[in-house]
Amino acid sequence: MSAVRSFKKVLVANRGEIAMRILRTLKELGLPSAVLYHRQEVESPALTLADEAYEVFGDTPVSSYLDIPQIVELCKKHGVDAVHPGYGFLAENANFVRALDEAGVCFIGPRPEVMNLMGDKIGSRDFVAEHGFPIAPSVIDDGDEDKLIASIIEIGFPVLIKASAGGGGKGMQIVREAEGLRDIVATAKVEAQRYFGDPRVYAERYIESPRHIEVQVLGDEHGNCVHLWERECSIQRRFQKVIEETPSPALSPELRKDICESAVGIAKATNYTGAGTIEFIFSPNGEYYFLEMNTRIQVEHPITEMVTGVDLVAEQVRIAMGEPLSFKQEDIKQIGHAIECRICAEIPDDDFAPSAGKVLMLRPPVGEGMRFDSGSYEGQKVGTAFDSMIAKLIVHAEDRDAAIAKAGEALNEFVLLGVETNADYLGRLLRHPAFIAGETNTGFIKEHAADLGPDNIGDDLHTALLATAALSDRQFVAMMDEVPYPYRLMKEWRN
Amino acid sequence: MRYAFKIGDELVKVAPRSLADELVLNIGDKDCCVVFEHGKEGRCTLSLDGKNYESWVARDGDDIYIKMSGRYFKVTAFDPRAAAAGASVAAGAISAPMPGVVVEVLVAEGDEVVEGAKLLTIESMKLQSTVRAACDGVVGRIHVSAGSEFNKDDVLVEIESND
Repeated sequence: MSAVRSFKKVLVANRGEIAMRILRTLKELGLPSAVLYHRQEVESPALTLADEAYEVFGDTPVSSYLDIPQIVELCKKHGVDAVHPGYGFLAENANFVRALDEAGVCFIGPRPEVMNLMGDKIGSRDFVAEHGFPIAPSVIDDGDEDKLIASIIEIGFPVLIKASAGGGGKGMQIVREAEGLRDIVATAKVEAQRYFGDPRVYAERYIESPRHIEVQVLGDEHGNCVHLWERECSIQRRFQKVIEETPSPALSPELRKDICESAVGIAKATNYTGAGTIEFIFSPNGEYYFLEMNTRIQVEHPITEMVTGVDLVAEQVRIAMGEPLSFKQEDIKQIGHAIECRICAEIPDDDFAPSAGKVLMLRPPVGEGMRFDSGSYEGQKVGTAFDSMIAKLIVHAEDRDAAIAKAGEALNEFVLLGVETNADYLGRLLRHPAFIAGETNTGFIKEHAADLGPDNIGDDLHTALLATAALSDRQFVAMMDEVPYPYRLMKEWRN
Repeated sequence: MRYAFKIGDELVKVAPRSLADELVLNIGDKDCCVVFEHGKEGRCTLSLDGKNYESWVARDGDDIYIKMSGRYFKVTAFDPRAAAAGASVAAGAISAPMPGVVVEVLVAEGDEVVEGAKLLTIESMKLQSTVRAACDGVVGRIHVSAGSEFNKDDVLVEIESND
């Protein structure tokens, strides 16, 4: 393999599970690595995995990872010549790419112009439509509020209103009637300004009960561009994905080919370099519309790796080194079925409120076709400083039923004590008959909320829990020892 | 020899009883024959009246985290004595840490008290404990009298701080 250039030291400008994920591949590629950390994270296993670790400072832990001048300075100081941004933080920030360019540091990802084009909801939709790919009927805000309101009414309800510059579900809302529309739009503009520094909003036809289907693409500097099939990410709460799978149970072979080829067409039109994802909204009658493009590695990328056998992070690095893709479209097969469950520190039965605590025990599931991506460790204090996702549990099996069963097994085997997580809830989702039947849509969690509550604790389990708690409680056991009976079993107590 | 554990919002008494060479726990007024083993790395096995339960257990202070039958639970050890002492920490209105009955009122409204002064004797979970003043002050309203029953979070007595 003849690299056009090689990297002396690659900095992972991220944290947690994705930092670990990228560092593992850098190790495999034999590239010297470095990672950032905030002082709250000195015990993170990423610091041990990386060859070097640089502390970043900021008013809040998150702001330190967003500090472009500080990170560029670190690159210069330590001889870093390439940066992998992971996802979130600066992964889709064109200013970061330009600042690195100026410092002579390679950004592992697409060019800033492409990032800007595809990162703008309005610009990217226009671009996609101009190239003949499907977009949902929509209205673009040009500052004339009366015109905007009239156009929204024209495309028909329900309508989804979003911040033009937004992402991740912030500031999105569904409007079902013209009444009160003016107030809703005004509020949306204020929120868009506040969250994203850009008051423009846009509205599009809202598809009822749609699926979220996205396509992974890879493009190199030599004009090659391929897709690595789709992922369905319909199980969402608050516009955030919870369970992802590939292949999608909704696609016929023809539709799959069609939607994947559309994705490649869109990526090719931008001369895309690196790994990216084209997201589509898929209607119950089989129509699909371009939603947005994510110009970075995604949280759910491992399921694509499981079914294709391609290491997407390694491909990102090779593409950034100027290498051509080492495979052609026809080489990429979709084998078996993969599912990812996102383990989050949250309380599903309390409207997914974030939880906090200390990880007291962590046991990853181990088995064939099971993968556990996490930056968590025993003793970790989980707070609200960062995203609530603490781990990803990924499984691969020969078909969907087997993958669902394996995901259930993996969840069963996985143990995380000390912080409340959605692990039980994920099990309930996987066992739900509608999920098993593949009848998913982005409203699934709300629609089936009544069936997804906690099961009752039976009397036997209740008693068993109390007995286990009592006999695990040092004071209780000490109290028993005071009574003059030979509780031999209790002598085993340690800790 | 009284102890309780909180599971969800429910408080359940657990007390050891013993037979010659078996361990019997009284759990919520029911006697259960148990064999319990702490295995490696937090893995526990419990045999309860002949039925087996495997679990993972980790403790953090009074909180006991358990994964059992594929589900997660948190059980909190609840020491009535400590809870009663904890009740006096907050100045102002002193509320009941758990349901119980007033045994004796030791002060009268208008009495000057110093921090730590005994205010009430209460009984919860068949255990007597003392409710004490958290700060120097004057006894305000007393909401209970000897023999009064109260529920968790009921205000028992108010102290007006001198601060």
